[in-house]
Amino acid sequence: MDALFEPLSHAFFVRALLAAVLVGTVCAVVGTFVVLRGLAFIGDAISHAAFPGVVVAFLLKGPYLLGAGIAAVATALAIGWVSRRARIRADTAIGVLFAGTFALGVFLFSTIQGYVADLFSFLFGYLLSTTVEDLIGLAILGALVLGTVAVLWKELLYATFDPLGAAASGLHVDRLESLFLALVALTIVISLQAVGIILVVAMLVTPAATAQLLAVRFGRLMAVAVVVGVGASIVGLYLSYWLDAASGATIVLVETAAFLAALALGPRTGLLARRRPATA
Amino acid sequence: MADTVTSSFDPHTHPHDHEAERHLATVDAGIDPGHARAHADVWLSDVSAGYGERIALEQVNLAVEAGSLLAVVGPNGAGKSTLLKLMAGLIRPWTGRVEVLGHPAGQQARRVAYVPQAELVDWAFPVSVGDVVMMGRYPALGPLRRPGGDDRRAVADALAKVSMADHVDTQIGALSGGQRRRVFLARALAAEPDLFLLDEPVTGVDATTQEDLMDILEAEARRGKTVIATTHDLACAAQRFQRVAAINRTVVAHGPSSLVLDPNVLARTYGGHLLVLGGQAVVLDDAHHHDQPPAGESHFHEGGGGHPEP
Amino acid sequence: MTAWRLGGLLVATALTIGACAGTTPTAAPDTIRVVATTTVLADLVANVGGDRVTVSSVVPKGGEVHTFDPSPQDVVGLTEADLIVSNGLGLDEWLTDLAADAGADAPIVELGEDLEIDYLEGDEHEGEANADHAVNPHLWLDVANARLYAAKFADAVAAADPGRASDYEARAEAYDAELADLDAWIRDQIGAITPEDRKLVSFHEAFPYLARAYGLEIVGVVVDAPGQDPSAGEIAALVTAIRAAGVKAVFGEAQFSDKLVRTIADETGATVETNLYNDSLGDPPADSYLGMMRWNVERIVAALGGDG
Repeated sequence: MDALFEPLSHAFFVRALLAAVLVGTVCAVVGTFVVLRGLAFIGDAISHAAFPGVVVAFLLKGPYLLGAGIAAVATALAIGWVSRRARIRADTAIGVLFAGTFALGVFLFSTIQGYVADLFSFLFGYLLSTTVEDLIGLAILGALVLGTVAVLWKELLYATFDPLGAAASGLHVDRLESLFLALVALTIVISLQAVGIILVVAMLVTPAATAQLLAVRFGRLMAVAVVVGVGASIVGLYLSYWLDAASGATIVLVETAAFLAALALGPRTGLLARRRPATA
Repeated sequence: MADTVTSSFDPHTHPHDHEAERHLATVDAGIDPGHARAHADVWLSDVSAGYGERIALEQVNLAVEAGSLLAVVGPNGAGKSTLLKLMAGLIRPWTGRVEVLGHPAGQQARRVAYVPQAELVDWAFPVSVGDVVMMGRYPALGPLRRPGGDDRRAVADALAKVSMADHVDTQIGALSGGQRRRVFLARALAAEPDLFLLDEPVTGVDATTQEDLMDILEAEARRGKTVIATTHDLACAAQRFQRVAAINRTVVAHGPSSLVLDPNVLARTYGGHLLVLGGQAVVLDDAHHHDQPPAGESHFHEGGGGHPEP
Repeated sequence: MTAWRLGGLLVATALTIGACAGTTPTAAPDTIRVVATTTVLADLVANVGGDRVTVSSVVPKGGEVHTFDPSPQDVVGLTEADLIVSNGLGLDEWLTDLAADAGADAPIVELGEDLEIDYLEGDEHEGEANADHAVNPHLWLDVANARLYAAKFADAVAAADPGRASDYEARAEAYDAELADLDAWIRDQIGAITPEDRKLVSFHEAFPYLARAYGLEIVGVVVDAPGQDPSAGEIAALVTAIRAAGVKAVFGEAQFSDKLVRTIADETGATVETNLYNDSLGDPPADSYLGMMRWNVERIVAALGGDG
């Protein structure tokens, strides 16, 4: 059991572990809705849009995460607006905003002369440099996101499942959608430190996608997603310690492995299911 | 009932006679116009609506009395779904006013249950029958409150009414078409609304389900609720509904359900979709298109001019 | 990188063709145009060449030379140079490739290659000096090597501009004397640190030559190669090593983020000094080679206990 306890003797590892667990939880909860609404692509777009926010924050000497947050939320709301109004398909609109915002970030980045002090760390995360302040910020924002989901649980569920019926019964479906996209943006900003812009959509989507293969009721699905997300964070971090590999990527690979395992062995799609007659 | 259109009306010779039509819409309702609004659960006045640049409905005047069991009939594209969405407050009219339960449409949404066509829902969604029916209670609960004993009882009652109590834990994707339709009706019932708006509730389901669903709707109407449903099924409209509104971009006729059997009403509503065989009118669906009708048939087409061919 | 090289090639080709029309260089007339890869090398060049040369640096002050992405303007600069100065040994190999692709015909002087010294092994870079194994390229942080760099450049510029060879020789001699003074001064300063305290951790493998020359021990580095963050296991190993050796200070570098450095230092109780300059010059007083070395040594001495 030394393998389990030795890393814990290092404070930086404990902080990284706490951060990864927090991020995994929030991502799994919000990710459940993301997957059921088919918003994975939007999630990726929002995360890439955070990059110019970070660069602008750097240029203005402001806090990076605030810049990322503003850029992410603005893009999220813009996507929602464009999808509702414009005559072009949603995925086209998203694709355009996705690439354009990221290119803006790269463009601004390339104009910086001199010290850039690792804006790169936002691309792949900086889990191992988590400070106590980072953890506090994570906890507060995470509580905010989870709290909002808890309060509006029923409404989000109804609007996700049957937007027309929900609107007709009086729910403000458009406002809920905008609020939800903003929550996705916040979740992504929180998660940037764990896995960075490139991989954050995986943390958002993979645990919930895995849960979809294993659970049939919504509540259980979300619970399984959280278990997968948190479990993969812990296992992934430990593995990265012993295998000398990048932490963020290892966590995502563990989540992906869980997904493939569920695909192969799960009750609904897996090899076991093939042998049983289909349930009506 | 023997209410009929005025005998001078002849689709062959008269172009669209708006005056006569308006006369049709309100007189046959058996309510005089001034009286209509005060007693109506649903009231539309001079309404036109559409999507983008396409007009779906124009010059709609309609008053639906409380406690009615009304069928809305018309061909595809006639605007039936649009009419329902206007009543549900899901779309805004371009002109005119829509009042539901004494308020502008959409404001009393908690007292209105709208049941969309079932196809638009994600059937793979991880919810059970019980979960879906409970959603009907959500709007009344509001944020933060969890469903309680009253809500569970309402759900159980609704499921019992639609004979789906045994399936409360089944995932909705595992249900047959008829069962799905029952579940969505149960959701509407659980919400305990004053107005039911159902889009094609009995279309594409087996006869037993159709009968059962109509029994439930009838029971609700008897309790004083207003039930408005769109349907393709003219026989069902004539037999099971009290009143009917025939729609073809506007209200062609509104009155007792026997109106659907009136050939002139049919002609004006279904226009080119009507085929007359040996004196019997048969409604064809929209796929019917040709220039020269075969011998022995006469067709009515919109804009006057049938082709009685030898 | 590849995309940039292709882009650079395209732009350079287009510009070379159009260059017949003559784009105006910013250099003063009658001077040798020298393009160096880093600001450090550019400073050495300026000191030897004086006002006979106009020198510019491809990687700007504070830029990161190992992972640098040149822009089209940089390519233009290369094609207009009379002399190109690089470090070699794998530190800036992108430069030679870029110059070749762009069709720059100026001679490239690789200051670090083929010197009569004992090269230290490094695992990041490969150089022609020892073709069978990789060497560490950060030679200039040992002043003795900087003197060799300056001399090599003096020869090269004298060859390119023989008319003023004697000028260059005189300037090189004067500068060499200044460097010799610096060398002695550093020896004194570091000599004053208690031997057990002469241990440090640097951000990347920039200081082995300095350490060897002046008697410091590099207990470990934070990153193996710039751009490659350490894994959790590597951080833990470094922390253990720091504690075991009793290292008093962890040094970051100005062109890198200091988050990782602080994390490691917090873990071990070591001091954090985050302004060492090595691959690039810094703000005054570290805006010349002499200033940079003085600055670094002062910081090292202060952190490792000049209080005796």
